[in-house]
Amino acid sequence: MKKALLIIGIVFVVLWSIIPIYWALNISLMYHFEVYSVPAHLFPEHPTLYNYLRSLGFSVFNPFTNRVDPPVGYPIREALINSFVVASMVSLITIAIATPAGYALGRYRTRHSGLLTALLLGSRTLPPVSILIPLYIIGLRYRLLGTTHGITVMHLALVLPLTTWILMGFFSTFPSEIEKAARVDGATRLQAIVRVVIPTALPAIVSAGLLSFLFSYNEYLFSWVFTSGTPAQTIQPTLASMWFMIGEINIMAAATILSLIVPVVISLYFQKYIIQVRLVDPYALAFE
Amino acid sequence: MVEVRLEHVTKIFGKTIAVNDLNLVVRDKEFFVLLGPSGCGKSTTLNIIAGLEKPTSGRVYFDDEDVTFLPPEERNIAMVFQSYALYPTMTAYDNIAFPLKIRRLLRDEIHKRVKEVAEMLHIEHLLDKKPHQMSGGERQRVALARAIVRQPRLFLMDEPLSNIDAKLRITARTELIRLQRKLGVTTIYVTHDQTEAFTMGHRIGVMFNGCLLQVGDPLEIFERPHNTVVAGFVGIPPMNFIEGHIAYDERLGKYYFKWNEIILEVGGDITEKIGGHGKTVIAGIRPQNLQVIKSESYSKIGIAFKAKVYTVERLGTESVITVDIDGELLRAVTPSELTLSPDEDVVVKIVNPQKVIFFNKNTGDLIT
Amino acid sequence: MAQPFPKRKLTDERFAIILLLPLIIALFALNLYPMAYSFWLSLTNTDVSRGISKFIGFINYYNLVFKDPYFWHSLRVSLQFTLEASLLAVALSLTFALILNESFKGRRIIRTIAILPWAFSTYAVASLARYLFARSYGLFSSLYVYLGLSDTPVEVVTSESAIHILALLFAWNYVPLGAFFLLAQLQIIPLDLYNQARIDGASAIRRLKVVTLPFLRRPIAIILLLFTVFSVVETTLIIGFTGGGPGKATQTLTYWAYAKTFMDYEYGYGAAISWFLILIAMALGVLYYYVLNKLKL
Repeated sequence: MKKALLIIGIVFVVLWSIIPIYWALNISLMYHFEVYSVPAHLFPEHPTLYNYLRSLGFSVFNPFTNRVDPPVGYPIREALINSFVVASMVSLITIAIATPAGYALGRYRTRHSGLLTALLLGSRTLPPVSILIPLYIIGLRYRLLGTTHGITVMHLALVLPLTTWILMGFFSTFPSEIEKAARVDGATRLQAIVRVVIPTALPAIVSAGLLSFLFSYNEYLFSWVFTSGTPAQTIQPTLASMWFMIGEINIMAAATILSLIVPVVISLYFQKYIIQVRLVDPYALAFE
Repeated sequence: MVEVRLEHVTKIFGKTIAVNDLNLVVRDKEFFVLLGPSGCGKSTTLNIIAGLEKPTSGRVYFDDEDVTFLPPEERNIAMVFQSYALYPTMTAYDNIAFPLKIRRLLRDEIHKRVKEVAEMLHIEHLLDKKPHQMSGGERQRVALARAIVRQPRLFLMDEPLSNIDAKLRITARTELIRLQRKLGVTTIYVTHDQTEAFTMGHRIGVMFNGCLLQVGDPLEIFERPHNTVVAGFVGIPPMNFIEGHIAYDERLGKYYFKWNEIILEVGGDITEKIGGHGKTVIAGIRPQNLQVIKSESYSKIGIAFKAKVYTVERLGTESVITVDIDGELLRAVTPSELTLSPDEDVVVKIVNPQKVIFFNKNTGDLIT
Repeated sequence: MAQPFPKRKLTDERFAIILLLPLIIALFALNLYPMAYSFWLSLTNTDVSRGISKFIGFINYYNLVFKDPYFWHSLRVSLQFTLEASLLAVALSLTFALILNESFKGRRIIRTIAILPWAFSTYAVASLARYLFARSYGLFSSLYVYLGLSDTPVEVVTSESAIHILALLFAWNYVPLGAFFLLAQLQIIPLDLYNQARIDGASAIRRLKVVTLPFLRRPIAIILLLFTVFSVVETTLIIGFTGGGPGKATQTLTYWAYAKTFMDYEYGYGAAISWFLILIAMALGVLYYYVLNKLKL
């Protein structure tokens, strides 16, 4: 009885998680004519990588029309590269700022640290729309629109409070005796951080960096407002504008699946850690 | 190496006073033990000496140098922590070498000195291992090696033996004593374990609630505790306290302490300090100074009284007998050969009555 | 009385401030200043399409509450979405956590699969959903045909169903977060408690009620808080899946603020709407803080 219930549960979890991905994958492996079959095919009849190759900038022979089709007119490859560059910069800068700040907040009780942590928490609850409007106007004024560094700065606004909070939580549970030992062994505050604390905390810092990377890579709203239709366009707004511009659903599906490769890889890394490190969300940690 | 002097040191965290107006001189080359229950402020005191905490007020001197505001890295001291605080990402070798690397010693010199201490502590085989690959005792020795390697002027140890198992702890204890005598470095050792304190320390300081209650050599602390708090904390099993009063025997012209059947002669000077006849006073008797005798083998010699056995705890060669006298429970230590059972009527005898000490009932202070 | 600290020496506090400085600057420039700016905007009639920008005080707020019928509509839609989405997400998180906490063969792989939606961008979730719920090539509309309920594919996303589907998508995206958070909590329940309950003869359901759920009460409250706040401010999902439609059926406050600003170019009015959102989010934060920390739930 219990066993049967468990099996039903497991099947449900798998179907729930897989079906939406499977359906897009299914369509992405079809030629255009098959997409509109009624009812829709549950498996592609002629599975092909045609859509993927065209998305990535290759000309592909289509056996059903006997034509060589040109690469899709959308800079998907460039968008992926842009996203990668932006997310890398965001995560590096975030780590550079959030590691010392998280350490300071987690380790030292200063007079204003209460105010600062409240501010971090507040920033996390802030509706993105509410700072999007003024930041867009600021972006217009300082010519940050349509640039890679512009969207990088915008993502910092969103990611910094989150990452600082995560690292603060980590450092507040970090055994202080290790740094005390380093201080007594003759290291200054800075030396203790650089030579002992950071190497020890590296897995957590890397995790926080990967989370910032993922956040930036996945962010849509700011990316759309700041980069759509420009050479700096990242992957999320590219998916969005394709939807409005081209009718080839199968190509779009392939582009969507391509955009999911990075998140899948990152989630593979995290499933090892998520239970121990509990990099869930600062908001949750705040109330623990 | 160095004499450590604390003058009126106070540390306040928010509303709690962790260390309260502490004055202490730790002599050069001395093995000094700070003894007290957890939360009494002994670790905070150690952290203040290390420079890891700044006192709220008061001064710390190393010899004549005022080090109150000197950061820990400039104090030339070494510390061993309860958790050992080994750097988890480094091998034992790198852990031991760390204080030398920070001081930018030459590579060959570092190598030589690490090898030397490793040999001294018999840990050559551990040098390539990382902390998580070692046992508790091995980590403890690596931590010790890291403290020794840079030849500091002061060792600070914060319960370094409390995380290793009981059997190993005894060998570690002797090893530590031997090492300290050999190196002759002033050592301040914090512990809550009185066996450690009594076996290791030249002198002991007993701390309670942030106050340093008494400083003295082990015998002094044991036999002449300054007040009931120290007396009750030190000694296993703890001291018996009996509240009685002073009576004057006109016929003999002597003062006596009286409680129930117990009558003890008290010196005139002590009586004077309490205020004479009829005054209440607390007598402190160590369980070791009480002897339990079976009723039938009792002969009327010395000071003795009747009692009933309450519980018997066998501890190998000795037993702790708790006896009941009119609802008051007293503990006595007897050899285990004596077989007693609860509710048996016995006679309790005070051996060495001169070792009974008296405390002021109101202040709890020792009357001398 | 603390004794004076020598001036040139570095205290812990001074050191901490140096480490915090970059963050403080960034927070001011990128969060606090924009918020203040947005508040100022909400007091103007800035409209780029008409090229005007004048200080008008609280008129935007007045119009919003008393004149604009869409405000109350959007608020109602927001409320419905938040309620449905967060409750559904919490219920499923709990279910998933309990399933994934059981030991069975291949648990690692199932966990790896279950975590996937967490890593996906909300926009990608909306995209995937568009394929799934599309009329012609969607799985669900075709299922009607496969199951013989209809001859031709049916429209699944209607003005009635759209909001429920959005709630479902929100849950799909966020359930892994909640489930793994609860899973972590489940790991710290002492095994002895289960053994004790078993010795006392408690059935599996009773053990769940007596041992497991009391431990999860607070974590469940925490993820409920998370999901309410996240769903109140959710914009991307609506932009990506329905664009506020069909009609105005899924026009939540956040979507409306976005549309007013970036489609109608009424910056001042959009800012005013977004300030309502900020107030709601803050109120939720304070409410939950009170519930969790003061009432010691």
